[in-house]
Parts: sequence; C-alpha cells; structure tokens
Amino acid sequence: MSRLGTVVRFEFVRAVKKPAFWIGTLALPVVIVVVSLLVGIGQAAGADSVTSSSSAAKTPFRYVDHSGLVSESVAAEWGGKPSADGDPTAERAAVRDGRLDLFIEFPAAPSRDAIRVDAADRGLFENGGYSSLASRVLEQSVAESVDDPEAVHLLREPASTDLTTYEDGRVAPGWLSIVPPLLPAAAFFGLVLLLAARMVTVVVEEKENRISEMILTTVTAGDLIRGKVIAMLLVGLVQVGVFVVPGLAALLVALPLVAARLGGFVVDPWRIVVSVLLLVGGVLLASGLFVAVGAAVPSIKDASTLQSAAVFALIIPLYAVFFVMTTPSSPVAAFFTYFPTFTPITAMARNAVGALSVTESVVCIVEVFVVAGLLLWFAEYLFRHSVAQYGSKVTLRQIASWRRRR
Amino acid sequence: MGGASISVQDFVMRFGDRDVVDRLSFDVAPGETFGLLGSNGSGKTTTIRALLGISAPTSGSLTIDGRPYRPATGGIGYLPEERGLYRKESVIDVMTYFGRLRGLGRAEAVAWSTEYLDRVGLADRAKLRVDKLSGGQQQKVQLGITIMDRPRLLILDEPTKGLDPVNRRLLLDLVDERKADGATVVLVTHHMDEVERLCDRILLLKDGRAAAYGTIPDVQDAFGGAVARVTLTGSVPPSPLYRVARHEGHVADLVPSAQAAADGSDVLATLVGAGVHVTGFEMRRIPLDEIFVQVYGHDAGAEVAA
Repeated sequence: MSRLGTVVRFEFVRAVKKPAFWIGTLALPVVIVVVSLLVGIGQAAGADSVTSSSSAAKTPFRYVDHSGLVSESVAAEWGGKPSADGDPTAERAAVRDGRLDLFIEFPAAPSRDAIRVDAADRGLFENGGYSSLASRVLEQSVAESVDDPEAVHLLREPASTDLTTYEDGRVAPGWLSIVPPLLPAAAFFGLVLLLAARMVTVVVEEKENRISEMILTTVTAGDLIRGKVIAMLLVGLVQVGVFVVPGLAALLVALPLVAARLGGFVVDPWRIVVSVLLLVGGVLLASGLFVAVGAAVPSIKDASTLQSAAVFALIIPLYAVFFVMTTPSSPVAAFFTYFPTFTPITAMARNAVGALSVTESVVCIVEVFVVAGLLLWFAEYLFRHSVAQYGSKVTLRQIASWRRRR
Repeated sequence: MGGASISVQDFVMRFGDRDVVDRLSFDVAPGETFGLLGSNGSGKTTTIRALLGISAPTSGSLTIDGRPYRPATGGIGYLPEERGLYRKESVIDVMTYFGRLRGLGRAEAVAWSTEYLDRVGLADRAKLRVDKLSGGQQQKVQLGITIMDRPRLLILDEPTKGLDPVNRRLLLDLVDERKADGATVVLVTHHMDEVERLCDRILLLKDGRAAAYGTIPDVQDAFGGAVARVTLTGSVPPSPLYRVARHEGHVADLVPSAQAAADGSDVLATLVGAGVHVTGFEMRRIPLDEIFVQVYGHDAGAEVAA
C-alpha cells in the first residue's frame, strides 16, 4: 500500500472505529425523527383538543344576529339563545361582569365582517373554542338552508384536486419533484456540520501533538494532507449513508400518500446531475476551507473562531434561500448564486425548483470546482509550510515571506 | 548495511530579515557519529529540518547520500526535540502506522513493535492509549518508531532529555547498537559527556555559523588546547594567569590565560605562592563543556577549519 493509502486507511479506520463517531452520527437522524414524531403527536393532540373543545362547548350563550342567517334551532343545539332585548352593549356588560359566559354578535355581512365574540376567559388554548363555536353555528345554519348534502359538504370542506401539468407535451414537474434534487443540498448541509470539526481536528493534530517532524520524514506533507482529506470524505460518505438510506425509505413510503396533491412527480436527470455535481464540488470547497483553517492554527482551541466563520460562510444562504428561489433574477439572488462559498446551497436550491438555467448551472458547477481546487491548493500550501510550526498561528506576513523565498 | 553520508554546503536560512543560518558547510561520513551542538536558537533544528526537507533552505545545498532527502527515499530515523504521538490511539496502532509509513508490511510492523515493546518493558502497554503512558514510556515508544526500520541515518535531537538514568542508559545502548550496525548518527545534545562518549566529530553552531568543527581533540586544541586540573585544599585565589572553569570539592579546572606558560608551571607556582595546598596538578585537554561556555557564555570563540 502506498504512503497515501496508509494515511487514508489510518485516518479512516480510527475515525469510524470510535463509539463516539457512531453516537454522533446516529444521534442527529434519531433526534430529527424523535422531534418530528413529538411535533406530529403534539399537533394531532392540539387538533383533537380544538375539535373537542369546540364540539363539546355547548356553553350557554346569547347572541344577536344582524345577518338573518343564524338558525335558532341550530343555535339552540349549541346552547345558544337569542338576546332577549337585542342589545349587544348590555350583553357585553353581562359577560364583563361574569353574569354571562358567552355572547356572540353575528354581523350583517359575515363574509365581509368578523363575528364579534365576547366571553369569559378560559385560557389561551380553550378560548379558541369560542370562535370555533361561533363559526360552527353560522356554518351549520347556512348548511341547513341548503337542501343538498353534496353542496353542504363542499361548503364545509374544499374539494381536493389531482393536479397534472404539462410542458412540451410531457408531464411537468410538480412540488414533489424538487425533493430528489434537494437531497444533495440536505446532504451538503449535514456534511458541512459533521465534517467541519473533524476535518479541522485531523489537520491540526500533528501540530498540536508535535508529531509533524517525525511523520514528515516518512511521508510528504502533500500526501499527508491529501490522505487526511480523502479519509474524511470517506467518513462523510458513511455519515451521509446513515442519513440518506432512512431518508430515501421515508420518501418511498410518503410519496404515494402525497403525490396526487403535489402535482406530477418527475425525476429530471439533468437536475439530479447538476445537484450531485454541486454537492461534490461544494464538499471539496468546504474541505478546502476547513483544511486551510486547520493549517493556519496551532491547536484545535485556536481554530474555533475561524471554523465557525467557515461554517457560516457555507450555510448562510439558507436564510435567503426562499427569496432567492422565488426571485431568481434579482441582483441579490445573483450575488448569492455566484459568491463562491454561497454557491453550493443557493445553486442547489434554485436548481431544485427549476430556477437555474443550463448556462447558470454550468457556470456554478465550474465555479465551485475551480474555487474548490484553488482552496485545496492553498490549504495544502499552508499545511506544507506550517505543519512544523508549533504554538503560533500563520500570519499573512509569513505567507508573503514563503512566497518570496520561492 | 552501511550508513548514510551528509553534505551541507553554503546553507543559508533567512526568516524575515534575519539569517538564522548563515553559509553553513559541513559533512558527515558514513558510519560516523556526529555531534551537532549549540545553544538554543543557534540554528541546529533549522539545519536538521532543512536537511530532511521539512523546510526549504533560502539557499545552499543539503544532501543525504548525494541527494536532497525525500520521504520516499526512507532510511532515516529522526527523533525531534519536540516530541509527540497520536495520543488517543493505542501504542501498537501508532507504531504499526509509522512502520507502514516506513515501508514495512503490516505483519512485519506489528511483529517488530511487539518485540521492541517487550524489550523496553512496555509489552503490557501495547494496547493502551498513548496518553495513558508516562512521559518516559512515551519517549521509549518514540525512540522505537525512530529506529524501527533499522535506519541508515539516525538523527537524535536531545534524545535523553527528561529521561531517568536507567532509561537514558537504555536509549544510549540502543543508539550504540545502531552504530555497531554501521548507521550514521547525528546527535544534538547539551550533554557534553554524551558527546565525548559517542561522537567522532562535532560542529558547534553559534548564531547560525560554525564556531567549531572537527574531531573532539581538534576542537579542544583549537580552543587553547589545555586546562590545568588541580587537586587542592582551600579556595583558588584570583589571578590574571588563569580563570576558574570548575571547582567542585577538592578538584578545580583552571583555564590558563594567554600570558601563562604552556606547561602551566606559572599557574602552579601562583597557587603554591598563595599558600594553597596542592596535592595534584595535571595539564589536560580543555573539556567540551568549558568550550561550550567559552563559545556561548562569552563572545570569545574560535573558528576551527575543517
């Protein structure tokens, strides 16, 4: 095995054989699944709570109906009685004084004006039931006047649609079609978070532990750093596999359930290729950044500020991604698309929604690979010159002096 | 297997505006044990790093066996002054890794490491993490890595620093073995007794220049050549004829000044005349540590031609 291969093997094996690696790798998807389940369960419970509170709220109430739409029998089913004297002000005073739990004033035009509800406070969550009750009374009263169950159903619930659009005689991609090209963007995000610390740590390790001189008599600095980068990318592949496999499984399960509502599901090979190339280039670019950070500092402690800056430089476009996707021709979108460290995420997001032209795709891919190449070259240059520099950061002045010495 | 040769010609290393090493030239012959001496910051480590290709020289030529050193060439064992290992890996894994990088097969590297650890009393520590070892134990592992593939050239920078006498003896024995095997040894140390015991020739570096270079007797002769070792009772009176280099118990080393007679007779006469009870008097070559003091403790130095 070559020295490069020996370095790759050593770095890869020692990374993946540690229990901490698997705990860290598995923790994120497990946390995501657990949080999603909790949120789902919570939402379901919340919906049930609203439903139950509104249906069980046969709260005695009085009402004034200016619209003439409210049926007294329907209102009575919910515990309502028309106001005796029809004076909203007096009824509200009764609510305020605690003599009445609920008073509803239906406006003359409920489609335009809000129904006014005054009620005794039951807490933030329970108070929602009052509004539900008022809406339900009006809705059921209107439905009662329509003598057609289908019409009533449609009034209560909008009809579902099964959307298929066509482009050039073929089914056009719907919302669901953005998922496959977005997967590389998700992988990139995960890799950046997972690789950052690991990459910086392995690069700075020889300096921090004062091993550089010993090891550099057996392997060149170039082979050493290349071996480390390759090993960490392989480690990243393992981590992505841990994410992607359950992700794809979930996608395959969920796809048939939501496909009809979200339009045609079309796998566009071009978009997939563009996303994958941007992912590969982006990961190389990120690696170059992290290696440069590791090469510039004497210890992992000194790396934290630069490391955070590098991570932010890569993931900040997430904050602007919706804007960029919806207004791809704006100058801001152009800036985010072509600023080198922003390109991977921005271009992948635009590509996923079909807002990245062929020309733009090619330009972005070329840019990402060129910048990644330059960064990796610079990182290796830094590493080669600073690997035996213990205890101090690399300064710009030093870099200039290295260049002069050449 | 013969040792490697070293040639350094007109080596200059400039950091910023300062020449850390200035037109340094020396050679080391195959199989020779060579002492590279100097105070902190005199340019020793810079020279070794440039020789091993770790840093590029500003100018000059540094070769091993006639060629600039490249890791692919192999055959070098370097124990740097700044020492460390992969602290969170096991001893055997670290040794095997270095063995693989040195071109050994996996099984060969494991076998060699196991045998070495057994010899230095660390067999039961093989699977422990390096950071669970004491400093001395870690140094043994580092030395093992350095001599792992029977290198033709061994460069040891302060090899005994921090070692207790037992481990120091063990280390020097291991170096002796490599010497007996024909390896060239470059020793960087501040321990002059080690230099006198092991080295054939020495180079004293001062401010990046050769302050002395040659065999130990040559260097001693070049630095005035002699010191008077006196066995006496009482204190040594001051005199312009000599300087007290060392006075421990009843033994004093006196360095005669330029105006003193070469045979030391006037030094002896001065002592006796001052009432000192002298029971022994011998002129001998100036010890290396006295030369060291002269070169680094004072500005007086001597250029000794190769």
